[in-house]
Amino acid sequence: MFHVKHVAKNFDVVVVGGGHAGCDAALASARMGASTALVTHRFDRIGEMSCNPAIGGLGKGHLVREIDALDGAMGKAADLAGIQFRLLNRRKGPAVQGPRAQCDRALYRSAMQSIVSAQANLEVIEDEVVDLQLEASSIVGVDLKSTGGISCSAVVVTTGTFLRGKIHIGSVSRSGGRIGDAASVRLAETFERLGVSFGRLKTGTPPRLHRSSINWDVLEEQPGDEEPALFSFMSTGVTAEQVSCAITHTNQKTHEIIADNIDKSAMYSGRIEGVGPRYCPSIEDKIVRFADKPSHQIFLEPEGLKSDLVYPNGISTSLPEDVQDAYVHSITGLESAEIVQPGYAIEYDYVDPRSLDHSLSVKGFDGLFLAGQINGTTGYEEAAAQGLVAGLNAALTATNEQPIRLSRGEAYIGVLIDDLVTNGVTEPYRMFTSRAEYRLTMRADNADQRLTEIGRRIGCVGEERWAAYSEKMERLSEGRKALSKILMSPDEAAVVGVNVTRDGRRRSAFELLSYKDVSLDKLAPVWPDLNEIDTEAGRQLKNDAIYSGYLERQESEIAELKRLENSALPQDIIFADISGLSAEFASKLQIARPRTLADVKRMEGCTPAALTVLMSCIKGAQRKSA
Amino acid sequence: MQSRRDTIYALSSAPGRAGVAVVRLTGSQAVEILKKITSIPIPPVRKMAVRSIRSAAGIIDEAMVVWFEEGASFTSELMVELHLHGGRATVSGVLALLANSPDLRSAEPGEFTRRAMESGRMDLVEVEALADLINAETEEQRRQALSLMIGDGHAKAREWREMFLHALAMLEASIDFADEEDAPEDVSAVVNELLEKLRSELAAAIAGSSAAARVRDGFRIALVGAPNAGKSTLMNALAKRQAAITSPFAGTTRDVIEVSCDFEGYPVVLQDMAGLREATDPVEKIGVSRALEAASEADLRLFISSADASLVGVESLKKTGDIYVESKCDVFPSGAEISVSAVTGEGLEELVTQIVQVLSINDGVSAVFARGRQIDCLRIAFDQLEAGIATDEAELRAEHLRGGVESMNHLFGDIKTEEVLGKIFSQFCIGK
Repeated sequence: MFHVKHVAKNFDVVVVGGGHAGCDAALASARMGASTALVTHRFDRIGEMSCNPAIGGLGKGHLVREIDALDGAMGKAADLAGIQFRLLNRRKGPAVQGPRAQCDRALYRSAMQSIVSAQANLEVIEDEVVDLQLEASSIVGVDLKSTGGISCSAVVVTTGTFLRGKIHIGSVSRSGGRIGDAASVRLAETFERLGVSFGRLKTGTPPRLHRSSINWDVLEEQPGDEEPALFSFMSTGVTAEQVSCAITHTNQKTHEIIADNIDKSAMYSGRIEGVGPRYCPSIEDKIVRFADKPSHQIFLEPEGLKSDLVYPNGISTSLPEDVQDAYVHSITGLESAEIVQPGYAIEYDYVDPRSLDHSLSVKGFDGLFLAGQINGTTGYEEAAAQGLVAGLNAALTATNEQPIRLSRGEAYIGVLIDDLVTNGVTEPYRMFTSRAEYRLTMRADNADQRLTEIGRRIGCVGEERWAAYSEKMERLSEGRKALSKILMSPDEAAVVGVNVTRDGRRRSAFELLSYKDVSLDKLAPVWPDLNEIDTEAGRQLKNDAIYSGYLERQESEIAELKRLENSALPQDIIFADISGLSAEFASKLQIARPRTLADVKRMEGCTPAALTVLMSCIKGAQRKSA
Repeated sequence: MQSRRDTIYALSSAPGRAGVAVVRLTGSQAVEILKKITSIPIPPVRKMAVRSIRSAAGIIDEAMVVWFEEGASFTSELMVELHLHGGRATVSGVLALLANSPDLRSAEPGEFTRRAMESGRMDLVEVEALADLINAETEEQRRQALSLMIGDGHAKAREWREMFLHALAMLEASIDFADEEDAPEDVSAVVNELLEKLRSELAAAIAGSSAAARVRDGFRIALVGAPNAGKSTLMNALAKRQAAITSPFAGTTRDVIEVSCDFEGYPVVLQDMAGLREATDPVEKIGVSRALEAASEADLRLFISSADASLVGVESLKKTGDIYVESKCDVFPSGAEISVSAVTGEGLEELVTQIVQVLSINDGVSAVFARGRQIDCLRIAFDQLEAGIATDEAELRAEHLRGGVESMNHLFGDIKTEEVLGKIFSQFCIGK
């Protein structure tokens, strides 16, 4: 593929940035039929994994499956680039299992770049967006550094950590968005002019090591799963060669070296003001905060099949290079490891996501969308999920259609965006399964059933996926029918080795499947009809059966949530004038300007009394307008 | 932060003539109004001082005044208290002055407390306990209300919520950080121990709730016996007043007569009723059936008999703890354990002691949750807990514990957002 240099000057949607958010934003917008431009510094860095070379995990794997269910790109690229697949929590229930893959950076880049190249309605422009063109509060175009102005009706900004990015290694700090890339200062100034409020966050990376300088023979090997769990509902198998990772540990000596040099760390010398994530602490953090732990685990992850780089996951740092050298060499297997690129901390500006609405559009502006790390999140998956939603909504805006909003009861993507725009962030936001109230119904395995139809309706799901999905649904419904048709008494169940309460009640085979130790394989010999159910459908039906007892409650809770989501507050509401709201909460509401009762309920400090008061406001307003 | 809400006022002490009357103001303008109605500069914050309260017509009263700053008052807003001389004219003069102030309106019932709750100064349990405390008439009611408001009862309920949250955080850590170094791989031992403790404490609180409800609402004690056994006379003697008509004729009492009294701090409702016999008179027949109904629903029954009116046909009413009383011991001396004479007062004290002993059973620290709403919340939490204990699957157990936390949140009247993650991060060094 070849990027196009200023062939067109008119687009529906311009996406700024070619990282994970930018790619899925541009692709989503283009799939919707909007003419889309992706503006990035360099085409060959599209799809770069700038932190660890892995996709997925707990909660994150759910996000990738959901992106895929809406025909997004991340899952497909990760399947093509995956060199080690592991399903996390394999021994726990399916609701909390998360697919994860170690990826080859080069393969991932090239997979993403070819998906971008093949996408209709999408042009890539190698340039830098230096300013936004606005008429009143509506986006009408962007100014590019070398290409000049191009017009559009919506912009998705996905600049990641590039907004006033600053890199720290020990006492040395310099401006930069990522090692080897420039920071975006002018765009940050533009946002400032628009009155958007900023915060500052930090994140870090570990030193990268030469693969050949590591003594692999003494290290514990961590192989991938025998049967890899893939991300995309469209993938049929792995394509890349599969490899193992290795595990090593820090020790007393490592800790001493770090403790002795702690004042040289950028993080601890007060040079960094941003807040870092609690769940991804630097090695300095671990040693200071958990001083009694004698050792910490490190995963040695190969960056690629042909790459000579290894990513030591667990020792991100902002210590000076000589200290990094010393502590790395104190670790088993790394005694003579060569550091190719030192670890560093990066500080960057993020936009307070509370200035966005649920479509990820900046409140008070038409056509200005933000997605990814710029909104205070961390992680490729969180970024891509936002990119997808912003891209869809930018395209919908460009064609004057209603934006799409996914509910917390529908998707992890809904949880992510709702958390961000309602409560903002205090540290880089990462997805966890425990953030989802309806975890048992929103599983990685049924993401397509939750979302593909919605995607098809709005227009982002292509023919090929729709056909595959419809065919799968057909198989599932046949399978469910077969399972429901078979009824057996407790005695009959006992014959196939299933022990249920002897209450004389006849149970369906689907009901029996909800028992932990009952599988289709156990039932099929007696009821040959069940042999018709294929492995994939069988697995899905088993998962559905496991949680069937919880479905009703979760569904009624989700219905209640939807009711609140559909209770829109009057647009012109002045919260301070409503009697019965505490002054503090009224001022919070005035700032947040929630649109619905569901938004209110999620806010810190909301009480049942406040909800009741606002509910009566809505009823009052409806009466007046009736 | 400047509060933009209405400023309200109310007479906080009881209406009517009194030595001192207290008027309170709360809201953003409270101190401004104090400045307007007092003569000289207002006293320093939280220092009570004498000030004249003036209207255009002159001085209304010489009062003690005090004010509290925002964030450190009952409502969490600016607050003023005027301690007035408690004469009717003085109080109404000051209230009229306030009524004429712009930016000020009279408070709705309970509005001060509501503001305290909305600002997070009090939770719903405290608000309910405060209402109970204001209504408390006996020592035990006061003790129970106070325990729920600021004492062990409240602390215990908070602790249960913490225990739910703690167990949930442990489970969530084992789910969400399964592949990360310091998340505990197997948390079940710690979680199980925590849940078992929670189960036994919640069970005790629920079991004690009916006793607690009786303390709050009053114990109903039915006086049961044959006609002319002396039930009405005994009730009048116990209540120390002539609540029921007494006469030497059998069948004097037809309806159920109730009288409230205080037995060593326990609120008691004594119920006198028709004597039990095969009645022929249609009115007495109704009286007997009402008596049977009241006797079976009462918390405690006193079965009263005397030498000339023996107890028959009450077998079906008997429950554990009920007390047998031999009456008229001044006329018919008796060897019964409890024999009383309403005429001489003999044995009455022993009877009261015996009753209090029965009432005070079950009266533990946790037995303070008396309201149906509170008990419902605890029951739901308990059911979720049991279901959670019954399953081995981490995500299902977490689901039930979530339900438990939610129910405890309902108990306290708040909707809380993510606290679980905060708990996880404070305990484990998580992250690769």
